[in-house]
Amino acid sequence: MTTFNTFRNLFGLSTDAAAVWTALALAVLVRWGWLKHIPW
Amino acid sequence: MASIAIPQPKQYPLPRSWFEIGPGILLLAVIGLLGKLIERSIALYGKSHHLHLPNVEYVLWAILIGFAVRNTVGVHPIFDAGIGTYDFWLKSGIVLLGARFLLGDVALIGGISLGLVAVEIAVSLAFMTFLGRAFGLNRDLTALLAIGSSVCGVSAIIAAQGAIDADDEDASFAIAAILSLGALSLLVFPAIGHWLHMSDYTFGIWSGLAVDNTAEAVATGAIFSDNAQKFAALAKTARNAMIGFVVLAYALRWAATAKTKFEGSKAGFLWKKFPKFVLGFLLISSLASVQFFDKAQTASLGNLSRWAFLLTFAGVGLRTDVRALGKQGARPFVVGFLGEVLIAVFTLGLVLASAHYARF
Repeated sequence: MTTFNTFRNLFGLSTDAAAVWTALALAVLVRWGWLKHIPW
Repeated sequence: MASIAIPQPKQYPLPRSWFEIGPGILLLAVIGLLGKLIERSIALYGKSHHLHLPNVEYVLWAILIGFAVRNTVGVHPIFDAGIGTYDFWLKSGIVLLGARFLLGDVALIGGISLGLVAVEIAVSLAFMTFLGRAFGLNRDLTALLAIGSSVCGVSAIIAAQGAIDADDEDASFAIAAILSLGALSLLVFPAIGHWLHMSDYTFGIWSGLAVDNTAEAVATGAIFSDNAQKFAALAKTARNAMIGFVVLAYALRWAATAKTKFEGSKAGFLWKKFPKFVLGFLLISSLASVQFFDKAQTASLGNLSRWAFLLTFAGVGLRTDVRALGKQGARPFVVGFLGEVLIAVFTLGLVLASAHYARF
C-alpha cells in the first residue's frame, strides 16, 4: 500500500497519472502474454 | 474579467463513469476508424485501377472529419466528456511509444532535441515579445503568446496564466491563436516537408520544435510518415519538459514587478509543472532497452500507441470550433501568425543545419 501511495503521489491523480498507469498496465499485459499480436 | 468560450477540453477528475465518457470515446473511435477506412479505400482503388494516387494518411482524414462534424452539425453535449479524454489518449500513446526507443537513442536524439529546444525557446520568446510590443498587445497577453509558442501550446498557457495572474480573456486570446495556427500547421508543414524532400528524422524533429500544441505536433509528424511521428513525439516531449523552467522564469519576473507574489520553493514549483508522463515514457523506454519486451511484444506496444493516437487525432478535429476561434479578434492572431512563421523558418534552418553537421 505504501509503494502504491508513493507511486500515486509521484504521478499525482491527474491525466498524466492515468496515462502512465494505463500504459504500464498494457505493457505488463503484453509482456506476460495476456495481450498478443495487437494488429494495426 | 469574463472569459470568451474557447473549445478547450475540460479537465475531469478521475475516475469517470463509463456512462459519461463512453459516448464521446465511441465517437472518437468511429471517426478515427473512418479515417483509416478512407485511407485504405483510396489506396485499394488506386492499386486496382493502376493509378498513382497521393497517400493521404488516416490522421488527416480523422482530423478533417472531426472538424467537419464540429463545424457543421455540431456535437451534442453528451459527447463532451469523452472527447475531453483525447489528452489522456495522447499521453498514453506517447508513454507506449517509449517501447520503440532504446534509452541510448532517447539520450542521443533527446539530447540533440534539448539543445535545439533551448535555442528555439530563447529565440521564440524574443520574437514573440518583440512582436507583441510592436502590435501594442498588453504585457500579459504578449507573455502568454510567447510562452505558448515557445514551449508547449495550451498547457503552457494554462500553467503560465496562474503563475503571472493573467486575465481569462488574455489566456483565451492566446489559446485561440495557438490552436488556429496549430490547425494550419497540419496542412502546411507536411507539404513543405515533402517539397524539401526532408527525411523522417529532420521533419519529425522540426514538427516537434515548431508546432505548438502536443497533439498537433504529433499529428503533423504522423501526416508526413509513421517514423516522423516518432521523432516529432520525442522532440515535443523534450520541449514539454522545459515548461516548468520557462513558467518559473516568468513567475519570478512578474513577482519582481510586484504584480504577483511568488510563494514556495522553486524546486517544488518545477516539479509541480513538470509533465509527469515524460517519466512514464522514459520508464517504458528503459524497459525496452534492457530487452524486457521481445520483438513481437515491442510491435504490439507500438500498435497500441497507434490506436491511442487514432483517438487523439479524432479529438483534435472535434475540438476545433471555427466560430469560437473567430470571435477572438485579429491582432493576437496576426502576432501569433507572424511569430509562428518566423519560428518555423528559424527552426527549419536549425534542424537542417544540425542534421547536416551531425550527419543524420
